[in-house]
Amino acid sequence: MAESDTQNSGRLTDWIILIFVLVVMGLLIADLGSNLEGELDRGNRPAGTTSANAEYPDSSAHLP
Amino acid sequence: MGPPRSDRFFALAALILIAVVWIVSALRTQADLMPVVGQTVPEADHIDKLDSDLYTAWADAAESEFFARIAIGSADGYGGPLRAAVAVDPIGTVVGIAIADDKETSAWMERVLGSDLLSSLTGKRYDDDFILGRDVDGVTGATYTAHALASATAAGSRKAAVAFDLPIKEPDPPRIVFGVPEIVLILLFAIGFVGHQSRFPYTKQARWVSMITGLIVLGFLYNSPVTLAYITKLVLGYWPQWQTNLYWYFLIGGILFVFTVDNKNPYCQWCCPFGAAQDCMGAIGGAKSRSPIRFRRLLIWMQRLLTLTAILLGVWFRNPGVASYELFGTLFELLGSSVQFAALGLVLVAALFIKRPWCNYLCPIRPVTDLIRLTRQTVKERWQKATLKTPAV
Repeated sequence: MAESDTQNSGRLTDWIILIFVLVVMGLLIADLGSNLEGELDRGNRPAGTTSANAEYPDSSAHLP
Repeated sequence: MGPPRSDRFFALAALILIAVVWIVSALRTQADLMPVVGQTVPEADHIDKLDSDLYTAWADAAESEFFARIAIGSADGYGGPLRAAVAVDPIGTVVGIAIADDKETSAWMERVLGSDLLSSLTGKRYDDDFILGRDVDGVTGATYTAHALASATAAGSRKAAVAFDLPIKEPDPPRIVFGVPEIVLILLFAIGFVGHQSRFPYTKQARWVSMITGLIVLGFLYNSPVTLAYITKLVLGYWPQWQTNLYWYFLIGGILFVFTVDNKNPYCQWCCPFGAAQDCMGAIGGAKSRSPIRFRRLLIWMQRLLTLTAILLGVWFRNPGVASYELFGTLFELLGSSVQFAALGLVLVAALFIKRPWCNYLCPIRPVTDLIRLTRQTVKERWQKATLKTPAV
């Protein structure tokens, strides 16, 4: 009886650890996803927001 | 008994995959810089490319008058090199700047772009010092990125000035930065080395001293634990300037050296601040080592797959910081999204009952150290086989 209780408790712990890992991993992946969105946005910064020019402070206004 | 054959196969497959993604991403990012160069001097008539890093902007179609030389300057940013196109007129004044490429965290870069730094850099002369807060505007909360942009502008302006045959004074060599974090790291490695010796009687006490020091100094004071970004930086070949990044070299070099010589991990169990934080929680809650027998292999492979995915993303975007998913900054600087705080809360609560849940099931450093250990063992076995086969002369 005591042995079966120990086995059951061990099984429960295994499941708790698995669920814990899955939940935290899910959160980390969700956060990673938002990082990647930021990375993709980097290539889409409008011209002029990454540059400065002495004559034309808003250089984007002079680009074709 | 050696590691399972499947481990060796997947380790080799992972290394090949990283190499393939490295090559493809390198080819992908060889972008044409002309559009960025054009942003620096929109009023020029046209621009000629002299070499990969140098351009000439002409004031007229007949090319009788220079408008500016434009050079690409580079400097170490937080995540890797930051490159800026810098236009300099014939008397050596910066007349335009555009960021050509950067590996910075988006939030920090946006803070810099939203500040007056870019406009305060224009109008500087190539022989100015470009020191943040003194010669040009500093940016609170994004010092590293702002410093990289100012340094890249300085480098680009000097390169362009050389093309105009302007007199160049050699810049002062960078000052060697050797301070508290470097000293503490060396001390912690020394404590770990002594504490590992089987004859040393105070291993447990030494480990706690090392851990608590790591937690306070490397964690809360300097927030500089080993992260996946460090590893990805190494893979990408972004070796920062040694004078200002001794800590990085000591940390990565120290771990690799001790692993190679001694096959021991000098970091995770002895000075990792996040590991120490979990140990403290474990001491409070009476945490036990719990190995889920049924899911042991599944959990190991999930951890490895997450790490490999993160490295591949970092290599693909050629940005080490983008896929670094650790919660270190969330704990030590209280910086992070609500999702990160939720994950940190779960990890710390779990650490009350399970010994080091982050290290055992989630941390990306463990699969990396597993790979180093496996590589070491494989090389050693091959070496021994080869030397045994060699007939005695």
